[in-house]
Amino acid sequence: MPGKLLRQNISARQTAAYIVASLLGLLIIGAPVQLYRDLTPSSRIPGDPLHSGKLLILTHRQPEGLLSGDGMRNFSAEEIEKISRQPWAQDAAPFIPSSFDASIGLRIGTEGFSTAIFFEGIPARFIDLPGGCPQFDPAAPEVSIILPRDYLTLYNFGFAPARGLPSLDEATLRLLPLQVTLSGNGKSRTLPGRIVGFSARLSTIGAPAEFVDWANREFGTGELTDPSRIAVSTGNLSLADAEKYLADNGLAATGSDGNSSRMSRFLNIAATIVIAIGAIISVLAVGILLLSVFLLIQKNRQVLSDLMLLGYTPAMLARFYIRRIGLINLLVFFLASGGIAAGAAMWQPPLSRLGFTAASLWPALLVIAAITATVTALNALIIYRIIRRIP
Amino acid sequence: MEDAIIIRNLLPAVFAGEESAHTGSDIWLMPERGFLRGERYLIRAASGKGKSSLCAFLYGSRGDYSGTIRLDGRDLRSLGRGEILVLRRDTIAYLPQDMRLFGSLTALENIELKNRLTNCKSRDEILNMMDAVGIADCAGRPAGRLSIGQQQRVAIVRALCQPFRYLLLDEPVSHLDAETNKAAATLIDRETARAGAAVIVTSVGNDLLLPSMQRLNL
Repeated sequence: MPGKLLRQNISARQTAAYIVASLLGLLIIGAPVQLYRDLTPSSRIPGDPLHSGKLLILTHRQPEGLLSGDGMRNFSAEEIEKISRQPWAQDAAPFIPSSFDASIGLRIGTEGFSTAIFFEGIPARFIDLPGGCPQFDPAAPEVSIILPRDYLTLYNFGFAPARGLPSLDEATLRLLPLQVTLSGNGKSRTLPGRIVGFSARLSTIGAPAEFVDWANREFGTGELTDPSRIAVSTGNLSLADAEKYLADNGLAATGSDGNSSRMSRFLNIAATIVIAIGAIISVLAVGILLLSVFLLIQKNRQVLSDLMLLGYTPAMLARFYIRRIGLINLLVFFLASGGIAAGAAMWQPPLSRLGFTAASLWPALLVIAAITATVTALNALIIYRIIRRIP
Repeated sequence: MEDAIIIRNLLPAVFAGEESAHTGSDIWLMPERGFLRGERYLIRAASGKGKSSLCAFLYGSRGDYSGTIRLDGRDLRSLGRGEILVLRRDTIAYLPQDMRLFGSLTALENIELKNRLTNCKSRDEILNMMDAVGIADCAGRPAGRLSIGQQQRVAIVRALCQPFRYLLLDEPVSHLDAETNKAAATLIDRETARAGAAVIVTSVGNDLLLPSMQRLNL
């Protein structure tokens, strides 16, 4: 019944304004959090077979210009040794170049195709697949192939639409039975092959180093070129330590997991700015609410005073306002959650075709839940204190 | 002393410096004056003598006075707001001169607003009390639309809807005729006798017709 008295001066328009402002604030905070998590390539992304943790794949910087001479420089043994000794390099190993000819084919029914291919061997300790990297058994060899994710993106967004072909996803491609024909040294052999993963960190066609070593011995010319790529694990060290060395020695790092990549930096900055704007809007919305509640309490001051004269406590009276604000904030939270989920449902499918794995919604929802809870608690405290001051 | 309100050297702050004007008062500046449970007191005084102030001091809603007020042995000034509010729910009932009803609520809602704090009376009991003072037919009407006399009777019933040991009535029947005055007095007599409560009534002229009242000058 005090509610009947206290409800009298509540403005529906002010309530609606608060709901809109608060909803906007939460959406501007929650949506970028979700988008950031969807876009950030990180160790939590399942399926990137290159080892989780901070992994750099180093190459020499490409000289500029079309006629740039010898093309990409390779790493000498001295360079590899020097990199291994760097304090930021926890573990380093070269990608093993192949010296054999290879082609890959696919046959479905009577239709088939094949194309020439090349491999670079990736040390097994840098490969992280669910269930582990398949062990290469020379007695029953099967070729595990890791493709760059960019190849799939190029197909799905370039070739397929132009030719009216269907998009392909990683899961489908992993199921295809491939035939890998190795030849050289006067020998030729066709082995079964399978795509075991797509990596955002590769710009070459990878296979376990064990296989490439074996194939080099069986089918290779015996002359191995120096490796053009080195995998370096930086462990928990800051990638900033590595950046100076890379810059000084004309090296480039691709596919690093962490904030040293420009894309990650851009995402960080963009997300921070947007979230900060959202936070400002949320703070303003809370300010609007508190001002409205303060004015409402002032309008009801005599009523509140008379109720306390009867014996109602400030806590009893504050409860009316707190309950109301709590319900409004809960409504705003559910609307914001729905908005974030709807937004994610819109951007995640195209992102997944680009090779990004959708992140769980829970962290973003927890962020806005925490904000909602904090705002409600703050409102409750302030309202109680305002009412308690009424004589 | 338990079971009493004891005032000592009490004087409203607004009367400070005018002590000589209050010699002869049975209340102001008395070395000790007790209001005992089970007793009834009528404080009659002209307007401006501090009747409403006295009630507000005893109720704990104002503290602008010198001297001390002890309720059941506890100095009112030493009590925190929470403790005062507890007293308002279960120890001391008050009918202010301006009644402080809520005009937008019905007569019954005004009474139930007080009653729900302690659930002292059932709805039937409340309606019977309203009937006893002749306002049962006003139960569903907004209090703001009632006459002053009807409002006073609503406020009387409301004041009785709680457990109490002390009942303060500030000019409770100023707008009642003799018949309704008598009806109100009968109701108050019954309820306060049941509670064994002290009754302190102020009046400017139209006295509550409560039996066995000790008259005090302010």
